Amino acid sequence: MKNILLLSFIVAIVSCKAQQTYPLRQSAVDMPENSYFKDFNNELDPYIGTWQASFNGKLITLNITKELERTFSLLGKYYLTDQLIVRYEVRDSSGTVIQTSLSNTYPAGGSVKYLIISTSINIRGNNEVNFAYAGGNCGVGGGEISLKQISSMQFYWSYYPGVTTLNDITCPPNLDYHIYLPETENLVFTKQ
Amino acid sequence: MMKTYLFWFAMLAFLLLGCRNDNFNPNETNNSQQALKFRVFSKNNAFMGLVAPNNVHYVVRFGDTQAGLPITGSYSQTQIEIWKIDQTTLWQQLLISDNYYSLISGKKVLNAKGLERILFDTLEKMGLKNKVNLLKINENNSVSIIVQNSDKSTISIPCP
Repeated sequence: MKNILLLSFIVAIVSCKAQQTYPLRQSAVDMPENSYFKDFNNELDPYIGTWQASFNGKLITLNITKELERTFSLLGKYYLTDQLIVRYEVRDSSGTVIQTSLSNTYPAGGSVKYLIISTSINIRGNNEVNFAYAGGNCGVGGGEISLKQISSMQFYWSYYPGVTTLNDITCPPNLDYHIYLPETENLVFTKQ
Repeated sequence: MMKTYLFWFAMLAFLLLGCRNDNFNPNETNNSQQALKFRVFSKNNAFMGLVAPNNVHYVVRFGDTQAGLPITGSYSQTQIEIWKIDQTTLWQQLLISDNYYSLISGKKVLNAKGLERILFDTLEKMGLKNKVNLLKINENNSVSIIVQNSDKSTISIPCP
């Protein structure tokens, strides 16, 4: 009994020391390993749900979920954070699905194709939520996305794809490298 | 910001894919654009140079033996995709960390320290830690070597 109490005490001390909790707006750079970046003020919650917008004849549907205490690595250290995950579907003008990640799962170490995941808040000083997008085939289209709430029913979408370099060995030319997500700023999405 | 993206992704591409045999042309330098050039004298002397804005130049040189060069196809597409989204995540985390960005026309832009951390972090993931030398040629033509501290921050050491 005495040993169990001692062990519990040690575990409690180690646990307290191992994890510190910070707000989402705090950068994880150079922070202690195993820190938890928590959505204390529920700033991510307004974006949860299903949203739609039309752009250049295409219908874009976003399904946004919030996941708590997700593990991520940064500069060789592991951390926990609350994150938004965006899964999406793009349909052409005839209603045909031309790209979708709605049923995608993203196990650790697996493919991140089409993954859109929140990384921080307020980089641009607009209280926007900032996301990293992994892109489609071979990462084409990967870059930054930000969402900025307008009201409980609408937000702005801004998407900035980066530059991708391909090689023919792992990225054969016959793959679809088209970017279907709307490459624009301040596109209004409406809650469904 | 897209221009700096081009630089760092191109550096990554250089290391992943190998080198092209374009020739340097010093007359092509243009302070308003980033011009990337690759050159290889031999596999033991691979380097890549960058003409960056504001008269800052970077040179990345492979500092290991030929046997240490990763062969084409060493990295899976999934690995590359994960490293790329990790780069974007780190990029954004550095933009909310006071020491790693500057404000240009009211917009946050990563400074040299931030960019260097992304490069070194990616090199480590690629198994190339301590195999690549990063040289910075400053506006006054002084040359520094950029090295990583044990805490993974970077310092600039002037070359003699």
